[in-house]
Amino acid sequence: MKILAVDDDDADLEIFCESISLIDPQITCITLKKGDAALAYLQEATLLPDLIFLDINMPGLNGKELLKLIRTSTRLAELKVVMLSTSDDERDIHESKQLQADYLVKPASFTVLVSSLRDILDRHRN
Amino acid sequence: MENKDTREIKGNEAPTLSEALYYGMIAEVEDYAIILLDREGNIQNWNRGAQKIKGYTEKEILGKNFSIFYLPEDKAADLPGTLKKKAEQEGRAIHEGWRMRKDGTRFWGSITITALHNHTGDVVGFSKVTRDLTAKKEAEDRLMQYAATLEKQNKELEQFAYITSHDLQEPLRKIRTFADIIKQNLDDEAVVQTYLEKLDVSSARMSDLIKSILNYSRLSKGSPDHYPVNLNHTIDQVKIDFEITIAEKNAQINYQGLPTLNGHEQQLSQLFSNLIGNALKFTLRSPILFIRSQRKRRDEITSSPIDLTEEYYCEIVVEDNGIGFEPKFEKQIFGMFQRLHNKQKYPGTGIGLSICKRIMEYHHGFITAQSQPDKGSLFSLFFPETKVIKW
Repeated sequence: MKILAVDDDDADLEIFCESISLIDPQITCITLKKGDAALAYLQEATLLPDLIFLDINMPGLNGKELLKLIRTSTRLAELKVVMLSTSDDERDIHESKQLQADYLVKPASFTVLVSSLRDILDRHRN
Repeated sequence: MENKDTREIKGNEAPTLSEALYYGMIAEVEDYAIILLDREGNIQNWNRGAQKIKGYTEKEILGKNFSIFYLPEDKAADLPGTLKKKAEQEGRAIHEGWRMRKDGTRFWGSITITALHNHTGDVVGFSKVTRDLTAKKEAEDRLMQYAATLEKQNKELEQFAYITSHDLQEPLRKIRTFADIIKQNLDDEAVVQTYLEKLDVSSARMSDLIKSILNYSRLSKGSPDHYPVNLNHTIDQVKIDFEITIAEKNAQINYQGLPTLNGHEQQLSQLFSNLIGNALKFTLRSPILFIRSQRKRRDEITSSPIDLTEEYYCEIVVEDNGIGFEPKFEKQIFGMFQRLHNKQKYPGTGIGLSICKRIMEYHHGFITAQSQPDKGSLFSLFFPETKVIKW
C-alpha cells in the first residue's frame, strides 16, 4: 500500500509517518510539504497512491484547493482522500464531505492518532 | 384649505379676512419653509420657516429661482427642473435630499412641490413645503455607520475565531503529542531528548503566537494620540533594532527625504519594523531596500482596497529584492495568519502584515502589495495628504 501525506509542518509529517510505520511497516509513506508539489507529483506519477492525507492549512495551494483540483481531474477524481486539520470547524468538515473526502482532526495524543489512522486504513482497505 | 393636489390659485382680488389669517399663519410657521413659486419656479413669497432653514431674508430671495437651494451637481443634473415637471404632470413631486443654505452649508430637506391651477386647469404656480430633517438624517447615517462597523467587527471576530482555532491549537496539540511520546518512551533517552527539544520549539512558537495576537488586539484598544512623526527618524530607529540581522545579511536600507506625518509614533515604528523585518527575512541574497515617498492624486491610484475620499495621498513605497510571491496572493497576505512560505524555512507567525493593514486603517490610509516570485516585493502605504506635516 502506498500513502501520500501532504503537510507543510515537518513535525506533523514525522509523527504521521511514525504512526503509519507502527500500524504497518509495509506501507510506503511518501511525504510532500507543498500543495502544488503534491499536485505535480500526482499528475506525473505512474502509480497513484492508494490513499492521500491532505493538511488543510498550508501556505500557497492549501488542502481544500488541492482537493478541488483532484476532484475535477479525470485521472485523479476517484482517489481516496482524508483531510487533516487541527480544527474541527464545521464548514471545513462539511466542505470535505461534499468533495467525498474523510476528515480527521489531528489528535493531541499520539496513541489516539495511531488508533484513528488504523481505523481509517482498515476502512479503506476494506 | 383643499386637500386635493390640484388647487386653484386666486386672481388679484383682495384677500378676505380668513385668507389674511391663513397667509399670516403660513408666514409665522417656523418649522417648515412654505414658499409660493410662479410657473417658472421663481420665489413669490417667503415665510419665517424658510428664513430659518435656508438663511435668506425675504428681501434677498424674492424673485430668485428655487434652484438656488440645490447643490451644483443636482443643478447640473437638472433635479429642480425634473421635480417641477413631475409636479406639473402628476400634481405633486416629493423628494428628500441635500440642499444648500445661503452660507453654503448643507441641510437634508424633505420637499413636497404641489402644482397650483387656475379655474381652467392650467398650472399657474407651485407651493413648495420644505422640512429640515438634517438631525434625523445624521442620526440615521450614524446608525447605519455604526451597524456597518459592527458588521465588519463581527466578521473580523468570526475570522479571528476560525483562524485561532487552527493556528493557536497547532503548537498546543504538538506539545501534548510530544509529551505523549515522551511518556511512552521514558526509558529511551535518545527519544526523550529529541522530543523534549521539539516540545521546547513548539512552546516557543506558542509564546510567539500569543505575543503577536496580543500586539494585534492591543492595536484596536483606545484612540491613539497623533503627533508629528518624522519617518526618517522612525526608520533610523528600526535600523538600530535590526542592527545584527542587517550586519549578518549585509543588507542595505536606502531612504532619505521621507515626510513628517501626523501619526501614532509607536504604531508607525511597528509598521516599518514589520515591513523591513519581512524584507530582511524573505530573501536568499543580500537584501537591498528602497524606501521613498511621492504625492499621488486619487485617480493615479489604481489598486485601492477602499473608496478614496481624499483628493491627494502620500505614498510611501517599501521595495525589496527578496523572494517575492505570486501576484494572486497580493490581497490575501494581509489576512491574519496568512503564510505563503513554509514556517520551518521562514519562521514567523503570519500576523505581521495584518498588523500593518490595521495600523494603516487607524491612520485613515491603506496598504497594497505588488510582487512576482524571485523579483522582490513592493509595498505601498497610502496616507491621506492631510496627515502630511512636512514633505
